[in-house]
Amino acid sequence: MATETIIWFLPLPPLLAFFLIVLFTNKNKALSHGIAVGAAGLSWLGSMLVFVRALGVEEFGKHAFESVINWLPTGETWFQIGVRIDPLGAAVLFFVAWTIFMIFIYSIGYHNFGQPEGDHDRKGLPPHGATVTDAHGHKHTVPSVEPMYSRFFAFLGLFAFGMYTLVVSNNLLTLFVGWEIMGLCSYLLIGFWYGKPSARNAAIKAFMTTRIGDVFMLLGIAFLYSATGTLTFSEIFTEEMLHHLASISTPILGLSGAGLIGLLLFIGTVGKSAQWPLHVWLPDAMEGPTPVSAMIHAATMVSAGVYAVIRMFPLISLDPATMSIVAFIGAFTALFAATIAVAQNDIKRVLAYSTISQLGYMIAALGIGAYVAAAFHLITHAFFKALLFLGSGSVIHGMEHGVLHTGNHHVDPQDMFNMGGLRKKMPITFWTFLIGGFALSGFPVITAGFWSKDEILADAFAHGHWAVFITLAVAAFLTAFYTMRQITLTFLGEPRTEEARHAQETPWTMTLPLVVLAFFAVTYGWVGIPEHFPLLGGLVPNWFHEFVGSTLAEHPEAAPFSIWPLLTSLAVALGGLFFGWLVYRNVKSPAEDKLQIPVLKNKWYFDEAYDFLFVKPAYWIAEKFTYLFMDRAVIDGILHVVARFSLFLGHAFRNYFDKPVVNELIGDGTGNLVKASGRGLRFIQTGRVQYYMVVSMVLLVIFAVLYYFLIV
Amino acid sequence: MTPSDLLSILPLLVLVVWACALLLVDLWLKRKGVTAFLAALGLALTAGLALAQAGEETTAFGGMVALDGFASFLNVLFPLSGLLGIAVAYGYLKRMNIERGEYYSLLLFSTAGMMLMAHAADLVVVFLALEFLSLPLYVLAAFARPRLDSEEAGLKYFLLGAFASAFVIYGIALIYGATGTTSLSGIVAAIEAGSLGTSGLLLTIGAALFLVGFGFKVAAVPFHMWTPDVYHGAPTPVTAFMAVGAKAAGFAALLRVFVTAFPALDADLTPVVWVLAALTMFVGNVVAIAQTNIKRMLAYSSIAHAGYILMAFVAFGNPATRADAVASALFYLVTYALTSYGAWAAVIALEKQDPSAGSGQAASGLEINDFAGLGRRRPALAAAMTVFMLSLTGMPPTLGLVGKFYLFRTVIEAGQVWLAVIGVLTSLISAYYYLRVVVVMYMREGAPETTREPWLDFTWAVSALATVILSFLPMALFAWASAAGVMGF
Amino acid sequence: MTGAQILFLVCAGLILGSAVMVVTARNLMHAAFWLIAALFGVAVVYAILQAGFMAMIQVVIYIGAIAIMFIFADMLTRRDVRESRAQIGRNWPVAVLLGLLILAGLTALILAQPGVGRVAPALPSGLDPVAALGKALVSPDAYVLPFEVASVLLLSALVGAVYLAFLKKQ
Repeated sequence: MATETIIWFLPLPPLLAFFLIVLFTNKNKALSHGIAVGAAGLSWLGSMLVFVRALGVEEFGKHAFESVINWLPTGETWFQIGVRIDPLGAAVLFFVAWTIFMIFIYSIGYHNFGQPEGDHDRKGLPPHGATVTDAHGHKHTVPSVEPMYSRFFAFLGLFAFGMYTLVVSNNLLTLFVGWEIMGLCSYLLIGFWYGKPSARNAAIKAFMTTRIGDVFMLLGIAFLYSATGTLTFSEIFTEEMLHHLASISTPILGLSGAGLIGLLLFIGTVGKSAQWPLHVWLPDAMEGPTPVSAMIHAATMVSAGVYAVIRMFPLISLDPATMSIVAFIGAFTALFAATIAVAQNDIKRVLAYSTISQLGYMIAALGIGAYVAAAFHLITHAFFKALLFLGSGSVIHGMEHGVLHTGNHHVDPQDMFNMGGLRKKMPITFWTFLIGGFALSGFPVITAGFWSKDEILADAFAHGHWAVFITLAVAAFLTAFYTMRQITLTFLGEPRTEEARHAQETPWTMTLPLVVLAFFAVTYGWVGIPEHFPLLGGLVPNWFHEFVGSTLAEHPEAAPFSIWPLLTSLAVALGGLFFGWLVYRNVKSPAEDKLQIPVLKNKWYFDEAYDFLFVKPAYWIAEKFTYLFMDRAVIDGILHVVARFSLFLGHAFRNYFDKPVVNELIGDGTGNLVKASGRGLRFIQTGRVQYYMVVSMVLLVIFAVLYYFLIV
Repeated sequence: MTPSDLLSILPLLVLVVWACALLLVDLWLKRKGVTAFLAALGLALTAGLALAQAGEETTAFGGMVALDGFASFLNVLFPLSGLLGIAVAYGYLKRMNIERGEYYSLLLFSTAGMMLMAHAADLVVVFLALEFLSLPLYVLAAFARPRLDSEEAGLKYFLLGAFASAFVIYGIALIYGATGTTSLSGIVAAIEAGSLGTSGLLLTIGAALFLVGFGFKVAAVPFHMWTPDVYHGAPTPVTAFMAVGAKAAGFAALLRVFVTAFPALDADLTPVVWVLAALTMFVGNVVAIAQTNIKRMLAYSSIAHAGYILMAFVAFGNPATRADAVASALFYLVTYALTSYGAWAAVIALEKQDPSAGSGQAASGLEINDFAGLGRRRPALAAAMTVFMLSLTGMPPTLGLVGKFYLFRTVIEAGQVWLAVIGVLTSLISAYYYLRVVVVMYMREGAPETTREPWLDFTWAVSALATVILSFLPMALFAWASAAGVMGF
Repeated sequence: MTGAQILFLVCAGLILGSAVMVVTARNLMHAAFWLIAALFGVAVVYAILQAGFMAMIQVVIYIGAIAIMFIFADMLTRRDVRESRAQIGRNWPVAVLLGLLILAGLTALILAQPGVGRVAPALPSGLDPVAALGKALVSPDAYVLPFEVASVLLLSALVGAVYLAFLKKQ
């Protein structure tokens, strides 16, 4: 099959899976997950095929796979949509296919497939466990299967469709469609356990917050279309089009057209990738099931925000003012989120803030023009962060085992202070989590995170962005620190609770994805080793830089090698890890934790501030102004008049045309028909038709007269 | 008569011969299912032949008929709509105890009339085609006799149809009087020669009467009043076939005649069409709000959609947008055909056999409220019905949106922004009654009794899928409609 | 005033007078006979216009078939053929108004035509309209298609009529 054809079909299997599950197989759990995983597998297979073929193309950047079709006629021309896989697309497709496929498999185990139905599980709430009686008459409590198992896979399928659509799009419109589908799925999946008020609120918060960004993004797209008449990447990124965009002036902040469009699109990313100041939704989104956190809120959807900026880089990089804003927001977010992560005790929340921080890293890299480094970190991060989330899900799952065993439901299976010593109970989870954590910290040489992070620092250093360099270095230190804190509290030492003592390794469906992702978390870094790196440089060619860099019209220079950023990144990574271990190896409870500083613990009070600044006033306006004044008084007033008028018209027509016929003849269903039939029918019936004719004729004459006087 | 003459109308010929043969064969067939199958086979064959003709352009029989993109587009649409007409009727006729072989032959005859209409390049043929497609429909509307509402529908349709034919034939007579010819190319030549003088007025009045006559056929306001009664009383499969086929054929005639022969009357007739379209959209949608019976609601909806298609007409005289006007009207016809067949199929699925069949009781008293609980009882059917309602409203992700988009764009490009605004506003009004069906299906408790018949299920399932899928991939249809927008004579 | 004109006036009087009688006669049978008279008058007018074929058709079809069918229908369907109720409906003023309007419009239109009031030129000799008509009806370049369509159309109408009239015994 032609590669372009395969690309067209990549998003389809998950979509089909969604419809099949929703419409037909939702009663059958095994069939549902079979369809979903099969669909994800098909897309994965297609993606790999495309990826391998892309590797085989000479000068792939110039000869990308692209196929367009005419979609909607717009006057003389057509609005075209199409698919495009260029080097950047291929690289992104690779990690998207792997992470999505792995997370689909993981979900089977996570939702306890094969376990009995819960004793009193309800739809919309997490399963509480089931009581089984074994051969000896002993009663056990075991995990129970998720009540809405099929629905979960259906949503995952829809989400995967959105993500694949976004990646293969060659234009902003379908990219935005995929983007919004993911937003919807994110909402549905965060609120998957809608029986919990916290999940409901988190879902709404996530939806509303990202919506703010999306509105700006849509504005940017509209502006771009009105300025250029096209939304196709390859048509926008031509010399003359970019020049034209750069030469438009706008009244806002003195930005050029390109700058303003870039900024508007970037605000969309700020929402989607949870950058400051729209970061507040992501930690709350951890209310969703863990596979969701791993897939949507770590590996794919939030990465899509960064991907969009990378995609639009040729446009955004035209205006230095926009670039400064991007760099500032990225660097600030990287540091700011890292400080919060240090003080969180929930295993998933630490990772959530870590995700925000790492996404900030990428954004900052883009802001200083480090295109390839950002893409590189995007991919390595997707692998190790998905790994960490899945690992944390595995840990929680193991802890839930312990909780079910002891029956003490007051123990929070997500609080790291309830854990400890899990390395012996859950060895696979421990080792893979360790790999993921080290990759996140940038543990030198062997982990992928080191290479990508190092490249960003090297770029910042080489181009003299000192503020960014220092901020990111501090953030990297904090990253290593909180990662080691997490590993120490969770896996090292001795179990701190009875539940942790009874934790259990999870089934293979959950550990297999961990192992696969751990593999990439290590090896993916090796494809991007800088050429002049001491000892290792040049052993393996810097394939990633060549490959992804060729996406741009001008091949970006690799940053010249310097020892300082290398030393810095070694120091912060190893130092952070060491201190993290040193401080937390003997901490037994939150009270002993010196870093539970209120301002960090409470996330710099952003939620409270937003509540005060936006939510409360919004409620006030909604209640007092919009509801009582606008709606009740003004709009309702108008609506009532219109509605009354419409109803009046409708009824008038009905009475005038219908009632005489229907009620006298057919009796509006039943009724008077019998009465009217026989004797009256013949006459009334012919009478009615005459009546129709007369009305038509009279109106016709009136029209003719009007026509004569008005127009002739 | 050369073989090429016959070849150019081969699909039509095959269909007519097939229908005549079916009349005879049916006499020996005990199982009417075989008749249905044979009729469907004939229609499929016809559609295939018509498809094979795509791209050809010629006239035949001394300019009486034309074969061009327009004709071959519609000649595929009509047999397909006939096929669906058989698919929805097969189980229904059995259920209602009116399974007779004549249904299928009459349906074939009517389809043949519609196809002739698509070919017609002479007003005489237009008139004959009009009668040819209408007469079988009159009988079909009364097919459920001795049920009174069905008989009444047939009689009403017949009387109003005859009334409309009178207008058409009067118009044709005046046009002939003014130009001395009935062939479309001859009319154009006569107009271009500029020798009409005061006969120009005669021509305009003739054209206006022609418009009025077909206004009845396509159910444009104020010539629409028969529609709810007839749609309501006729057996539902017939209604579906009528709503799609007869309307499409009426528009085919209007498009062909106005776009090829009357562009010169643009200035005189555009305001007329404008008012007609605006009135039709407005009245159709507003009155539909007050309906509680689903068939009457859909009837008013079909009136409103005639208004939308009429919108395309205001551009008929503008050479820049003429091709787009035809293409968008054809595209919208396909949209409406798919969606409305689906909606009618859903209605048929809910219609019960009337306990008092034969006693003259009205059987089609299906209320919108009878859809309550369908979302639980038949999720797939309810989902499909939702798709149809969304498509009729013109909401994504359905073909209705694409069709309306194309239509409104054409109208705006033709410079009639206000008409487009009226179109959008009335679509907004229509959301009220379409979505009410959705609300009733999903949010009201109820236990509707539905019928599961393979062909009926096939119809709504295919229509729903096509409505959604084509909305994402409409290019092929666009390209085809655009090719059909260029007419020979 | 030529003979033809006198003949036309007589015929016109016959047609209009009979037409009025058609709608006013209380006895349906009488109305049918008056209708025959009116149709016959029209046939004569065709003959005056040298449209011999049309005149013949008028007699054969309208008088020979349609009017006779009316009479049969009357006799078969009703025992009492006299109409006992009011002859005129409630809407008669509207009908009269409309009729007059249409009449006025048509008259104005016809009078506006060039050549109204001129004597029509005589038809060229040697032209046989009936033969020409016959040829046109079967010539592939003329009206063979409409002719054939009409026949199929009538066939389908026939089938429909039979279906509607033939009640299955239950």
